[in-house]
Amino acid sequence: MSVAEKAWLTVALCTLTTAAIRGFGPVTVGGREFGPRTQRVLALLPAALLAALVVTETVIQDGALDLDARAGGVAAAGLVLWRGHSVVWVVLTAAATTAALRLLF
Amino acid sequence: MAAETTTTARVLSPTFRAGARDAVPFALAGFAVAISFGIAARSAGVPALATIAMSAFVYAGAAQFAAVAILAQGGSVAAAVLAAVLMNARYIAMGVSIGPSLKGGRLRRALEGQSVVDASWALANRGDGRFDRHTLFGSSALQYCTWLTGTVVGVVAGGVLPNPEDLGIDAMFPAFFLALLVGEMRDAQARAVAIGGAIVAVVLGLLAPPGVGILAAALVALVGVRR
Repeated sequence: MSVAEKAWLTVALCTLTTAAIRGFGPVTVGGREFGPRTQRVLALLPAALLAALVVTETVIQDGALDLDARAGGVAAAGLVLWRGHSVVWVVLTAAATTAALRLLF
Repeated sequence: MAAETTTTARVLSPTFRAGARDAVPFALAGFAVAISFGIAARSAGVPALATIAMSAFVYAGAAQFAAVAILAQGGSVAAAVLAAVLMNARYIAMGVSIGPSLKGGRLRRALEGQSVVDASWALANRGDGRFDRHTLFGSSALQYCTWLTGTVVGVVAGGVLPNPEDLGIDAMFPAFFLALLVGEMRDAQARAVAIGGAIVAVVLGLLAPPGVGILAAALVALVGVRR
């Protein structure tokens, strides 16, 4: 299968699964509710997955540890976030810092 | 005609417009991140039209990035879709919480539930266990417009810019999701799960086939069954 074919198949399957997942809660909630333990696991999933995505997209490149300008940009974004600025500034700071570090080094 | 006018008036209610207004910072950041998604997907070999179709029909940033990241690393379609499903699993919890605030029969509820994205769900939360559906629709509608147009800009820019990494666009996505992650840090257990998930993802990201680390990190959330 070519990369393009894999991509189209992925888009089609992601469309179907995402629509089903988004519809699932509203449709089932009238009947059965999840137990507190299941709800707790579901509530914790974003923390685990978002943290996994953030770190892998920050420090791993092609299966190897890579602490480059991008990691510096995300660290700067974290500082801006910690100072309580808008998410717009967080994202722009990440890009600007990364670009500046790449220009300098 | 009269019914149509009534519907329009209801959809553009004050809370719908308030929702759109509150969503402006997220929509602007989403626009920038969507540009980076368009560029990332194109450089991963995803066709231009498929990239735009993904933003139009999936409209779930984290899932889209996770799926494309796995394809970019040479992972399988199954791994890419599974990562997207797990990334979207939070929408089950959000859908359950918002269910009682939606209206109509099963089909209409399922359709109304399609408007749930992280920021719209959070903005619609009134803090008393109920959600304002017009706020949800308004904030989601604005974010959808900027997400889609940003993706188109990214797809075009990806073909024009000689080296998009010079602009630091690859740092936008982790920064945006760092902001969402901070919003998830409600208690000590959530913080522990985030740290655990990060460690699992990095270690397996270095040792295991592409995508496995991110999927395995989801298992860390199972500590939630203990409480």
